[in-house]
Amino acid sequence: MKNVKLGDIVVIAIVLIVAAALFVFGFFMRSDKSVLLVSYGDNEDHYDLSVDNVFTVENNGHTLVIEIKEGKAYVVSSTCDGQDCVNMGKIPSAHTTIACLPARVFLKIISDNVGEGYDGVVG
Amino acid sequence: MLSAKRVAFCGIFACLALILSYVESFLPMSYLTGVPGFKLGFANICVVIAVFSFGVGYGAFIMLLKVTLSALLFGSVTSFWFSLGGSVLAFVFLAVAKCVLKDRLSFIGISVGSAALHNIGQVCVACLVFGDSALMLYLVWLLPVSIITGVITGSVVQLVSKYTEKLL
Repeated sequence: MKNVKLGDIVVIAIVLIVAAALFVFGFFMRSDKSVLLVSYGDNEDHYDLSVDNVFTVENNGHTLVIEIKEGKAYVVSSTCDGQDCVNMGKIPSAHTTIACLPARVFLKIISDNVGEGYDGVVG
Repeated sequence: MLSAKRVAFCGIFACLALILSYVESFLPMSYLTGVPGFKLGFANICVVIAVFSFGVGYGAFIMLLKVTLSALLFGSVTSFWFSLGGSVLAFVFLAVAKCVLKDRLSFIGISVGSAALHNIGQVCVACLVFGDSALMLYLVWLLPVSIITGVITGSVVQLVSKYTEKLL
């Protein structure tokens, strides 16, 4: 097992193909959505992304400060250890998410206009 | 190799895995790379060497010991489940690689595959915790990164395995 083998290339290719497939899937799922869903514990809150806002979410012993600014949502600060949720940056489009695992807080941009992608239905 | 010697080496590798996990917890890789959940996965080096030098059973023992003790010592209940999900899936790949694909893959391919499955396992646990499959899209960033980390750890395993094989 000293040199790179054909199987290694196959493994790397499979990993890249899966990542590319997920990227394409995510790209086509994007659209102009305007509602931020914040779920924590058994609660779900909805916020209008077109309105700038700063709010606090407390769950599982942690506190997150979340800001909505210019249609984008992000975690300003968190009391969790990892700070991954803060480092995740802004979520500008649908089906991109921010998750704070220690606080179990989940941010997702969802659609408030399901079905508007169609110009009309004929049959 | 005598079983006592094998057990001693397993203890050493379990300790090494824990130390590497601990050291890695201080490296702000998510912050430096901008990829949430990014980890180098150096502790996986010990598990890979254990599986291929001592056997699948010993490797499983070290993997479970690393997951449990690292959660107890410097983690949490949440980190235990995430680590377990990723580690079990990565270990399944290691076991398959050892038993079925051993002549077709080098340690680099093995490490890349196990790193990718480790990330997939963790994201699957996250999807279960949050009840939303949208989190799978994190794999768009995590999978390419797992290729880089897998190549690095696989190269280290190739170097170190020369010496561990002499121990047996």
